[in-house]
Amino acid sequence: MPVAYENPIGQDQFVPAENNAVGEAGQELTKRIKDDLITIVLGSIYRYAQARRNQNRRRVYALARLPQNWDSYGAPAPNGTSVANAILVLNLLESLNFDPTRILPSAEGGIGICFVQGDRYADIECSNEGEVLGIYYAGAQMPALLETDATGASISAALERIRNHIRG
Amino acid sequence: MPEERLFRRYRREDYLGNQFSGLGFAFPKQSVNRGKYSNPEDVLFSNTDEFEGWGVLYFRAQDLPLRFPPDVAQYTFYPRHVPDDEMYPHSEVWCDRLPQTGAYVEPASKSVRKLFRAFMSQRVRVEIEAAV
Repeated sequence: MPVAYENPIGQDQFVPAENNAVGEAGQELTKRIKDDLITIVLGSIYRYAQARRNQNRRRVYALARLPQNWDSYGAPAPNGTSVANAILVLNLLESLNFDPTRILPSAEGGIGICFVQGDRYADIECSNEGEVLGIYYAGAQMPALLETDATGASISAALERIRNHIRG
Repeated sequence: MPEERLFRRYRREDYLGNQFSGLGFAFPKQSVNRGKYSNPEDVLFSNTDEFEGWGVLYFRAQDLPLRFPPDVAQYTFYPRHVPDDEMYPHSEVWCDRLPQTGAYVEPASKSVRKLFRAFMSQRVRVEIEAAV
């Protein structure tokens, strides 16, 4: 007859009574565990990076739910094409170990992934029509365009240029 | 030519540090209000307070490039006063090819549009800071 295995609880082992906490004590316990978890996650560069990347993906999907005219000047909402390309850009960024500063909807219709460091700015914009175009500049310098054919290879090349520009 | 400011509302997220993202600008015929006929806060006017907390930015009419792109000029940009029933100062940023036709011409290339949006984003200034 199979017998269920149980860890023996000896004199030197005990179940912390606080795990049964209710009311105020329970809330305190929840808060402490949450704080500990945040400390653990923040303490791990890998986990922190993962959390940030997941947040970026969630941001892209959230932008897909914007209404038409979200900017009050008639901007189209991002569509499935721009979302798919924005996710592709995020995947490529991950392989370059390079994180965006912000992800914004584009007033032209689409999603832009932005990078800023001091007076250096760059973005790569995924349009609702399927185009993926980048731009970069520093200060008042004339902006430089990065054209892609929306394939992984050409987007990667553009992102590398942006990374080099942003990191100086 | 005397300086004239062209106003437009914006949200805080379009500013990254002290840089306005060109993603906040659009073609065609970007809407602005003429400073000659309005106050900056007029672009925030709404019967339903829908723009509460939005900010106002401006660029100068003179900032619009007469020859663009600078290295191989193909287009010219200028403000065109297009008053509407509820907003007399309403204007639009128009584009024409070179040599000028007198009509609105949409640049065929998305690249020129992207370049222009970035170019203008470098020239905007905040008039009323956004809270949202």
